[in-house]
Amino acid sequence: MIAIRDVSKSYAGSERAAVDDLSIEVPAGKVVVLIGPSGCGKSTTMRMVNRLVEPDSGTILIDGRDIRELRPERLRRHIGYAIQGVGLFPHWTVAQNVGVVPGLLDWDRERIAARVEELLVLVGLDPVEYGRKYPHELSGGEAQRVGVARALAADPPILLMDEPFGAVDPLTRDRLHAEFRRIQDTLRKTVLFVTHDMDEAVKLGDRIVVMRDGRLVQHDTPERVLAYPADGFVASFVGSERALKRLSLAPVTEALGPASAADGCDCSVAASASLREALARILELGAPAVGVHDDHGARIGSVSLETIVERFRRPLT
Amino acid sequence: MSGRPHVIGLTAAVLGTVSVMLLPFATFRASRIQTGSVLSTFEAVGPWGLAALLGVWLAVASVSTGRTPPASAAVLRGALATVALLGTVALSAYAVERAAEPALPFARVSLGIGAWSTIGIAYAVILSSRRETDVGRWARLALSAVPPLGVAVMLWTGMLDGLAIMLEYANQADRFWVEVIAQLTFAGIAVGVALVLGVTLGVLAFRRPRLRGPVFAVANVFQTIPGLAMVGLLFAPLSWLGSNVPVFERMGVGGLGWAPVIVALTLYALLAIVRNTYAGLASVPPEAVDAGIGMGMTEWQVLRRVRFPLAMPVIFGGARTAAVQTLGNATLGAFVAAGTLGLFVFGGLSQQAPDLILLGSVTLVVLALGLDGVLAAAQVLISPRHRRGREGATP
Amino acid sequence: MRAFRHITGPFLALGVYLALASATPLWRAALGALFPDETRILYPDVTPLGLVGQHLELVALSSAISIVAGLALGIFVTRPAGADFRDTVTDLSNIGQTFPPVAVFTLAVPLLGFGVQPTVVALALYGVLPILRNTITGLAGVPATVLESATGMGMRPAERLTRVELPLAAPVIVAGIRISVIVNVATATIGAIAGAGGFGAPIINGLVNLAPAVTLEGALLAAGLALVLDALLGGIERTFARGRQSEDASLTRSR
Repeated sequence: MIAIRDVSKSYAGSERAAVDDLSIEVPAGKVVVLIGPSGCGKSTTMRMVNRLVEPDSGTILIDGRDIRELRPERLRRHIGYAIQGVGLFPHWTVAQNVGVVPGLLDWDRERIAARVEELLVLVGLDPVEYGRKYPHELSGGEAQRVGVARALAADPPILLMDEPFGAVDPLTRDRLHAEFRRIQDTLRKTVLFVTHDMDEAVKLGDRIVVMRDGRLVQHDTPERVLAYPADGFVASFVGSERALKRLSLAPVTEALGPASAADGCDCSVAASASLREALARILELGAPAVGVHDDHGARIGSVSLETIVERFRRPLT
Repeated sequence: MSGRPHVIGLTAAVLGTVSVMLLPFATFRASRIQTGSVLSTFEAVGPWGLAALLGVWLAVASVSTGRTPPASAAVLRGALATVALLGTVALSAYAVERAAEPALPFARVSLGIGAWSTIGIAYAVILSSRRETDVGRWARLALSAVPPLGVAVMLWTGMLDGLAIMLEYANQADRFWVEVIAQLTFAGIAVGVALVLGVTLGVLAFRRPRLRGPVFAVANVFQTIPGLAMVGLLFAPLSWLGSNVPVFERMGVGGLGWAPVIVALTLYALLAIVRNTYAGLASVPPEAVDAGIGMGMTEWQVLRRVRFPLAMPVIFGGARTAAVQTLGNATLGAFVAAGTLGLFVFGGLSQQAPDLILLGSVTLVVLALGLDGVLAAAQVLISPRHRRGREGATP
Repeated sequence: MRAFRHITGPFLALGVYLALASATPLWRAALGALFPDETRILYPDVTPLGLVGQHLELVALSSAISIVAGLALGIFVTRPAGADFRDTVTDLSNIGQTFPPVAVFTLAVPLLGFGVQPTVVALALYGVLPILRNTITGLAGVPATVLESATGMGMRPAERLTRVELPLAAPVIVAGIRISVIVNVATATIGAIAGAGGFGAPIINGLVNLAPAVTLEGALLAAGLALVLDALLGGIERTFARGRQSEDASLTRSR
């Protein structure tokens, strides 16, 4: 768990504090996304956690221990770090890049090799083919994957990610998001993630922290940020289509109506689908409702425009 | 406290003080080629001179502690360093006066390592002040112009005539200007020929990718071979040409004389010009070329009207590098009976006459810095930004 | 080994050069055949190989000093502790490089004295400049994201320098060393006048006494050594640049 408590930071030559009395908690195994416009202090906040920036006041605890108790280098070797532009070392191969931190931690050679192979498989790159390539031979998406693999190399319980998927095309980014979720579902790391892209935040975060001018504006679940923006700033930041974004967060099971409503229609979506997918089917077919089936194909209910509206009317907890 | 201490200012003050206190300010020799005895600053310029120099460095230190507002501190520091620089030169004249002894009419006083390092340190401070953002345009200009102008004025008024290097100049005065002109002429002709050849080869390398490797390899070989070795390699063949081919004989070609100097310097200068011509042509943005082709220009027109004008600053930069290098290398002329400042420099070395070496080398450095400065200014004048500024109204 | 493929050729060339230099009778025969009318064929005092030894000693000692000093100063001014000096050191080295190398050498000699040791120091003085400049350029050219990654992963400043910054800057630094060494080889030929020996001795001796064979002996040896060292350092430069997009080395160099 990361606990950031009453932290402030000002830079010389700037009147406004970059981070102003901020407190955030990242529960173990969860992804907290810091989001806000450029210069809102989100990157500074993240960089204070691995002491690339030292706060002027306040404390940061990792699993209850003040990070100032550790030498910065030791601290950083136990925190994975992935940044935009990746920062791969151009003079080393992919395998050498991924093996840096284990090397710094004096792992033996075979253990590093095995770990590198495991990680490249995890991020979906063939170890034989990619291990010996140099960074300039990689596409943008491949480089980002290597960056993530490198951050995970020493199996750190904590990951800091500063717009790690910032510099790739939208399709690749979607794929990387899906893979990140898949990896996170198995590894359960404690992740602090910085982005300025609300779609990314909604997709990846368990909690979202919206920042502006160094201050916390809203700290909530993705759906609540979309449903109840704290103020006009957050509302404009999440965008006018925020209701549509919410649709993709809610599973159909939260808006089930009677199975009979879809009688006579051969259409059906899986129980794991989102309301967004269900709505898409409804619009596609021009039908009043679509059925919902469970893993065995048995119909367990239906979704209609009414049930969706009803679901949105219900207050969120 | 209002600001950070200025590290360069403080370091310079410490080093300057050390130079003044511990290093010999001047050398005294009973005659031109006798080994000298060194004079400390106190011995050379007396208590007041010593106090003045120490005072300047103390002042530099005190405006560098961070208590003076940065803007005025930078200007003050530059001004103080200028005082230290010009003061050291002026004090050297005073040292000559103090050391004069009627019994030794041929005695000579030259600047010692302490004086030279004081000048060097002061100049470093001037450079750092000039860089500072708080220093305005006029102050910057003054910091660039006052030191050389000050020295020039002291030379002009004859104030420094008693210094060893100036006595040496007085001895050599008639030959001095002849050799300076020889130096400049050789360099000028060689760079002129190298420009014609180098630009042609650069265009060739650009147009014919297959020739690129060989052209660069050959030009690199020419620049890698030491100048003196090149002159040596040319000795036998040029002697043969001069005595067996009537045309060359009439032109005065031979293993010695102007021919080996011009040929060696030209070959040496090629690489910088070829390389920059190629790089300049290759760095022209493809959109500009596409636009030219799209308007119906022929390949040759694109080269002449689009690529060349855009590549001009880079090509000029290569010519500047080549010219400054060539000017220095022209000293080789002294080895093949073609004169140049090398006569003083190398003559001084073989006679072990330090003043003669100094006269030649200092002149050489002044010429090189002057040429580089003039060409740098010219480069700014021909650069595209300037052109854009001037033709800003036309789209 | 693939890693050494750029320097095997130059090393072979160095071997051939040294073998040829040590074959004194060959020189006498070849130069004698070229100049049948000449009585003075070889430089009288020192064998060709002896000249190579003298010259290499001058260049090796002075270049070693230049490399250590240039690297140390270049590294210092690119660390936080030395950052204040960086601009001024850069300015000074740029101005210094405008000085003709010959003038730096000849200015230093009267201050330091005549003979081998002062010649070495005088050569080293100018030789520092290209190495210093390229070290600063090379280290400053390491991308910020790479530096941040290294720090963020927990490398200590010294580890970051030796494992990331220096290897990445190596091609540029070696290019500076190459320039420095070649200039030193050339300027060292002048050292003969200051009594330091080397290839300058036969070249000047032959020019002064109108003995073309003697001049050619020194000139060939000097040109050969310069070309071999240039190729060798060029090979090292390319070896360090492996794994990165190859740049046309001849375009990124300047002297």
